[in-house]
Amino acid sequence: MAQVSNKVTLGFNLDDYSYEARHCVSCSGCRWVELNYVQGKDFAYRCPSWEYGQYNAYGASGKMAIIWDLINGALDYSDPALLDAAYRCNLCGGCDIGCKRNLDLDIQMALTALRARLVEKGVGPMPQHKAVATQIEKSHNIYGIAQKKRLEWMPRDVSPAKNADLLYFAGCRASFVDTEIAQATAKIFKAANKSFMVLKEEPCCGNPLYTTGQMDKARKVAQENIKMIKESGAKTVVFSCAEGYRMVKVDYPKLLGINTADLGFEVKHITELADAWIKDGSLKLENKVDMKVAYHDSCGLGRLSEPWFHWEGELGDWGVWSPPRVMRRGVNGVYEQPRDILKAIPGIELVEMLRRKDQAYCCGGGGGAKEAYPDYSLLVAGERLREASTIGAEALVAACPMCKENFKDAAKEGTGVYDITEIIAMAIKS
Amino acid sequence: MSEEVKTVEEAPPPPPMGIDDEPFAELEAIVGSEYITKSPTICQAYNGRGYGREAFWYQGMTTRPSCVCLPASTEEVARIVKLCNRYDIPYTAGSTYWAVAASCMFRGDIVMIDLKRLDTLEIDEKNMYVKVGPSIIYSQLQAELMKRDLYIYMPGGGGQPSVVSNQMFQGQGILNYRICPWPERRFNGANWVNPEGEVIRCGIFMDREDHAAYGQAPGPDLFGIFKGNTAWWGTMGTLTEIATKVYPFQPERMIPAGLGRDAALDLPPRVQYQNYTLTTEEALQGAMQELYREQICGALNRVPMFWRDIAKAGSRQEFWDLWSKVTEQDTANTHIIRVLFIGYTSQKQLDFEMKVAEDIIVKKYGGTARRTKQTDDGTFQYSIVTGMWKPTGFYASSCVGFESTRCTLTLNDQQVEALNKEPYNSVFFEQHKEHPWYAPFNLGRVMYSEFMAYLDCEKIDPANSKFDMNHVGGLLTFLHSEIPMRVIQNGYSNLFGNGHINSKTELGPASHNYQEWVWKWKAEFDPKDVCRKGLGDHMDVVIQSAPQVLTEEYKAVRDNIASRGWKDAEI
Repeated sequence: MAQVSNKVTLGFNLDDYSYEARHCVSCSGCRWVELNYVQGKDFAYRCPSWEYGQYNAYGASGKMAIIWDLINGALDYSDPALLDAAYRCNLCGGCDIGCKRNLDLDIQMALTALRARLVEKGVGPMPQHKAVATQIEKSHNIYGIAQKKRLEWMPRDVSPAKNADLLYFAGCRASFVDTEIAQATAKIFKAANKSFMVLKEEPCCGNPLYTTGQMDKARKVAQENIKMIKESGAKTVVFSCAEGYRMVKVDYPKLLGINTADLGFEVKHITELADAWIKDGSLKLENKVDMKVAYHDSCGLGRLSEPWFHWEGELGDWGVWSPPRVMRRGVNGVYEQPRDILKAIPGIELVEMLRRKDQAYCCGGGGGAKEAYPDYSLLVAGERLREASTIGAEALVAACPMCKENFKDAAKEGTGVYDITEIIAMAIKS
Repeated sequence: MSEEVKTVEEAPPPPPMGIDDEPFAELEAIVGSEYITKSPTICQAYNGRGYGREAFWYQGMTTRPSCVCLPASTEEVARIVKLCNRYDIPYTAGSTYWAVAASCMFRGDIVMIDLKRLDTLEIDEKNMYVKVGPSIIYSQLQAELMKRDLYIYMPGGGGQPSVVSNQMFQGQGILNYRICPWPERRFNGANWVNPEGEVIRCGIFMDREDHAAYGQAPGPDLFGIFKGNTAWWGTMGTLTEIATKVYPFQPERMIPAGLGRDAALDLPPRVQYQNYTLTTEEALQGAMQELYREQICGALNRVPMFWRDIAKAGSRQEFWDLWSKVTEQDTANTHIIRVLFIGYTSQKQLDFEMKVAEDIIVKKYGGTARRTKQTDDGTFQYSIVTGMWKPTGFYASSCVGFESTRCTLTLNDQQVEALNKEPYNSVFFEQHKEHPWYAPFNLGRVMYSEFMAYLDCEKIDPANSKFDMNHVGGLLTFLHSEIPMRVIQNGYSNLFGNGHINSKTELGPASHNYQEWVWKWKAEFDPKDVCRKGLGDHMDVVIQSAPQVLTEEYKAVRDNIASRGWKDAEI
């Protein structure tokens, strides 16, 4: 039997999660939505992977048992089911906060480290992820499109500044495919009279590399991007993409072994700024938008967005950490600002799904699932759309191009799917 | 003592692993290729633990099944079971994998029948019963019931266990205060696949056309057979659906609010909690007894001080910061009773009951009403039981069950005393002589109690450098000698732990050799011994491999009771 060490670094070495692997008690807190929020037979799961994967291996508690046997050398990395169990999952963090309700195990990190280990062993990531990685290496974006086309989304009536405190990082999806989101974001800056700049050759944030376990590649991207952002002179990097937001705010520090506060610049989502601008009167939303909407908390803006605190230390008696740790339990995500924005728009009626805020069900698109398991991704998105429709929502509003794209792909005719930037833009008087 | 405990390496060789191609192909034909696998990765995720079972997991005593299949119907379950009988392959079934009896396996040739796809949920509002399949959890059921002004108890183990498996194994929770605590008496029917694969439809599930006895419930005796040879751990056959009674509730909704650890249900006006502190344990017990004699309140229970600190603490670290400040003087002076008031019929009823409770607890017994949050995260839809792992990462319930008030409270005192003597006081978490939690059920006709002994999970984990055989020895002796001795001395017979916490073989002689009776039933219904093979006897296996955990004192008490009977024994 492998001997485990009580010295732990909260990083990407799978062996550092033997406490999680050994001492998960299979309570299923990782599978079911916070039980006080269960509303009946339907919509009771928090984990889409387990809901659609059927077997226990697709839930986090099953994966903890698997991880122990991997650490212990009792499971073979070549089992195709291992790859499937590890990657047919959005790494949405639902399981992690479910566990942190009571047990405080680092499930999300353990699952991320599992993917990193699979890559190290040469069995991961999935072929589709390798293809995306190649595109990023070649073209600095996930689509393999020439970078010179990157800024083609920019509306003609918007002129970004050469130097500004705010740097808008549109991300690959909003730059090339979901350009309406980048355009709406630019419109918000303009309406609020806030000067912003963009990077001339904005690269991929590296999220598709990180979430699929390609840590060396992701680290390189992180280092380059941080350098580029610092050189731009920006004080604040602004995202309309929730995945990009949390990648820079949370996952860059993880990759580099630093705290979020040590990045050297602030990281904000456009909803945080727009909310503040609405409240201080610099952004006026005057157009009526008659719509009954449900707001979907994107994982990257919600439970996964809390600042990162690097930690290494020892598990002492009774499993107490030394030195003490700052816990990230998903409660400090960006939850209220998007809601306050929607409530401030004339005509909008906001209705709430019970799986909301830290308990939100994933859109199904993230974590590399959309690329490797498109059918699964659509099932998850369809489930979320069904949840929204049962509370009478005419449209589902997200705050991330990934979520919007996946919902759009799954939506039946007549179901509205919007990014929150589009709704804000609709409310701005031209 | 500790050095004599056998290690895993000295244990007998493991039974055969895996499944042959032929039976696997036949299983595949039953459920479809999408719903069966023998991938070691998938199977490893069924290597169960939790509720103290992780101790076996650490020791390498449990293993993964040979394959996992997901049947879609009772008929498919029956066909799988028949096949297992035909090939002499052991099998077990599970559904939500919290009640770990089903998934804690000690041999590697077991077919795991995962009942996740059996998710019936039908509520007969008018007649107040539900038909429910094994993959439905309590929180789902409770939420559906409350939409209809009905309720069911929520198990102390949490809202996430399967309703079916929990009703088979235990069926207890705080809300059993007004509900009969024996689940068999709440059953209206069951679909039972017996260990040989015959489908027995009982009670409401009978076909009205074919059965004159349509509608008859299975009854307590047949239910006992379902429960099988470990008495409380459901080892005989497989229930694919049950029908069980539900109860009328007050009409106003409970609204969920809050994030993370603060998530809770906001209580409506007709549901209120009130916590009281009493100065002595005797005063607390006296007040509790008067409350249930008056037949008031919706639920009541004693709250140990460390529960309070678990609830307050954000993390294990914070728990220890809080608990390290608590002294024996504090626990001696603080006796908390938590009372739940429910205006089932009206606000007037609730107001009246609160006044009566105030008269009893405050005026008569000198209690003090404490500031109490009007939210719930432990009784109706969620139970904070996993928080119980927070202090140390491991606990073992040394005694779980219900008995008379006198018997329960006496045993509680004795367990507190036992925990505070060598070697246990140097192995277990310091509870400062705190009493365990207990609660009256069925309006005080029985008292539920659960004594939890905590130790550092890493000290019983051979993979960890902190592993200490003294801790393993201390745990086993406490569970198999120290507490069983007091259990049988006190005539505490309604113990859930038989076969789960304690060895049946060891306790049997002092309990009218009931284990021989259940083994006969097992042989009759499961002649090939394929249904959850060996599961009911794993504590016997533990004792066989470490007989020194049975102390001479325990053996003398057991033999005395066995030879002379409980009433005449000199104990």
